[in-house]
Amino acid sequence: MKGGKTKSLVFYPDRCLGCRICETICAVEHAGMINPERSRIKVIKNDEKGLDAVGVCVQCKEAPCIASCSVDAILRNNDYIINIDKELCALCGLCVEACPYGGISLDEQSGEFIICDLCGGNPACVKWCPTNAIQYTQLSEGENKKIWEAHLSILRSVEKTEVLQ
Amino acid sequence: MKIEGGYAGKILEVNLTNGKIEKNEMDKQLVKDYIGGRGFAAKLLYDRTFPELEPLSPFNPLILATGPLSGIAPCSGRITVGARSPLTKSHGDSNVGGEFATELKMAGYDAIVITGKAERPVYIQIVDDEVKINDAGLLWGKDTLETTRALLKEFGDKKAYVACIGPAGENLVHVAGICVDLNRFAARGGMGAVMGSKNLKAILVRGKKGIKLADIDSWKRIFGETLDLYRSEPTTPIGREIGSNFLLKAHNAAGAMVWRNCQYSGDELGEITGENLNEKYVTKARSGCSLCNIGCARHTRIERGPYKGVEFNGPEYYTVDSLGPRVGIDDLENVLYNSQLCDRLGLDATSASSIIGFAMECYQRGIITKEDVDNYELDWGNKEAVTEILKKMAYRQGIGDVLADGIRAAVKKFGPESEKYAMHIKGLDIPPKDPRAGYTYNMRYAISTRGADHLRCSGVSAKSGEFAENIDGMPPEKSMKMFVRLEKYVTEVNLFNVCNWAWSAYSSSLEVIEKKEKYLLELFNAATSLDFTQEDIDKAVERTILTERAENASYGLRRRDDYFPKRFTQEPLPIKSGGFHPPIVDFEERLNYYYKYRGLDVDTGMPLESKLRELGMDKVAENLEKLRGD
Repeated sequence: MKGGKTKSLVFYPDRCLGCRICETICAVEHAGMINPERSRIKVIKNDEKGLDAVGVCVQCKEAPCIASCSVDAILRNNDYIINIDKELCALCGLCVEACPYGGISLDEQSGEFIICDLCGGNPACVKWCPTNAIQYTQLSEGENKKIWEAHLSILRSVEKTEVLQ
Repeated sequence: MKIEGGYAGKILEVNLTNGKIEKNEMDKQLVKDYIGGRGFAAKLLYDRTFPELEPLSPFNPLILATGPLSGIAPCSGRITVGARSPLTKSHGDSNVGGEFATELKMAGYDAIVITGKAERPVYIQIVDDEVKINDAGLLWGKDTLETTRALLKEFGDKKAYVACIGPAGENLVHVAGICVDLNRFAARGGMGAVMGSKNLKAILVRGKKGIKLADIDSWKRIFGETLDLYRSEPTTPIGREIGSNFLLKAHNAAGAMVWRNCQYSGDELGEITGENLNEKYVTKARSGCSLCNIGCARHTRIERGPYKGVEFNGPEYYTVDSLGPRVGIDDLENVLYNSQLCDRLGLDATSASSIIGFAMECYQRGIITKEDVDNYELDWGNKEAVTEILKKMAYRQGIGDVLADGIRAAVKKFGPESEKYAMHIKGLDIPPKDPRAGYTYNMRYAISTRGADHLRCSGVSAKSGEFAENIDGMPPEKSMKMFVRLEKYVTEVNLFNVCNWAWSAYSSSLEVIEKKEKYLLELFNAATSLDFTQEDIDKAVERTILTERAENASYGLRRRDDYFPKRFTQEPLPIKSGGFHPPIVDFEERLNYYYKYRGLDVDTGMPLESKLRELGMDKVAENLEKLRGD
């Protein structure tokens, strides 16, 4: 399974309603409650521009989070899935800064940094998304590159809001 | 009775006169008797209002109530805003979507009760347990877009949500609404003026606590089944692809759409269609409401021409008809411009434009002249005049100052001859669907406790008119039984505070409504651990309606206040494309049946004592006893 030839989450921004069902089910599955703060997928909205996107780990090839971690707490497992070893994690937060997909966040209630674990191979967000805006598929390297570029582009547009300028 | 989830468990009470902030445990009896949302608003208002209460005085409470399913059920981003209405002088409530309700619950509160009046402009900032009253001096005078931007910038965390008023609310305009999440409106009944009368510019909320669920497995199962049901409903793609603007063609074809202040229907729509709006101006359909799998809202932008720069989430059918055919305007870009203008000024686009439509008909009939309306040639379709008058209403200048007090104040100004052209019930303007197109279904306008309102009872079927025809074909006794059944369901939807579109209005059959009703109860029980039965919910529905009725009775409202303007019961509605709808027949008989099925006195429209006692509302019964014979 090495070399990126594995399934990952794929986001199609045009289909996203910004409904936050993915966030809700993710928090319920992982934290046992409804709370976007504790979700491993984050819906990011720009109400002025009418844009919606999700911040989530897409298992990207470059994985800058791994390089950013000085204590080697972030690694790919045997299935090529990126995960955080909470025993090793020094809680520095550099990985949050490093990830361009907004895939890592701090769960303030548990005090841990959290990242998508693909629900053990059956991601709940994919199952519940009403418009199939998020899918769990295996793409070719070329397709992945295109999808990732589009994902980063919408994330940048969403973040660019007059509200915070 | 132990509540293990669903509710946050606290009601936030803020007194702006003395700055006191209380976080009170939610009364369990309130939950049992009224469930939440509109029910909470009804009860909290009833307990705090009295006949002499001036709507714009510090004593009028402003209630914001989430429901037990806010943030929990699909399509649940609704919050109810309640107060005695400055527009109707009777029970007022308004319902708005977005994320505000969910965020408030995540901060730990099911409802906010705001009383008193701040000395200077303020805003309330809620971040979980930390609630502050902050100075809003620099925000006063800003429109809703500028206010939301400024508050989020200062707060620094854009995941916060803002409810605010624009200049219209500040200037106590009786048709001012409250803008929520930048693009959504608690529009009707002048709730924005109540906020303005308290010197309250905005409420900002950020909640990080989350919402507990008592039985996660059951919740997941029912939530999933509900999503499946929506997937199979024909109304889901309609909502997603075109939103409520599909009604422009549908209502117009059925001769239901309002043209020129209800003088006729079914004229050529030209460019005023949802399809045209979608093709030229909509950039994306998006939800904007908590957990909505439909996404009826559409982000709209004008790229070029005189209205370049217009960009907002909207408009929906009611706004398009109101700012378009209702005032004779056939220019869609102008409609979009005026729609965002109303949003930014903080005006209810339906009432503000209806009042202008009324003035236009008075002008058409020579009841008023140019001199009465700041020298505007108030001909149908005068775009410049409509835009100017909307602005003047928000700032209370010239003719705008007269119209800002609502339709009844305008009648007073224009004289008794104008009254027959004032299309309102209890002071609230008729929504842009003519009541003559569906006698039974549109009894909802008459019986609504907040004035002419299309949201108090809902039809079945996406095809405009189909249900109305079915139900009108029945004898009044039978049709009103069905009406009350559907009114009950819609009220349930309001108590849980889920979306009226998704959960009721656009259900394809009565069977689907029954299924949804079952899901609502199951989601509620799964979330809360309360073991309520359908009968418990049904009783809460009855209590809510009767409580609102009792509040109105205390203000002196009686049977006569449930009547339509005479145009609808005496004149036919010509349909330009052919034919006409006859005037409403059997109205009195239908109203009698409504009163009978709802437990209301046929002569007065007040709740019957026996009904109140049966529902355990002894206090209300005693209060009403004093009023009988008035």
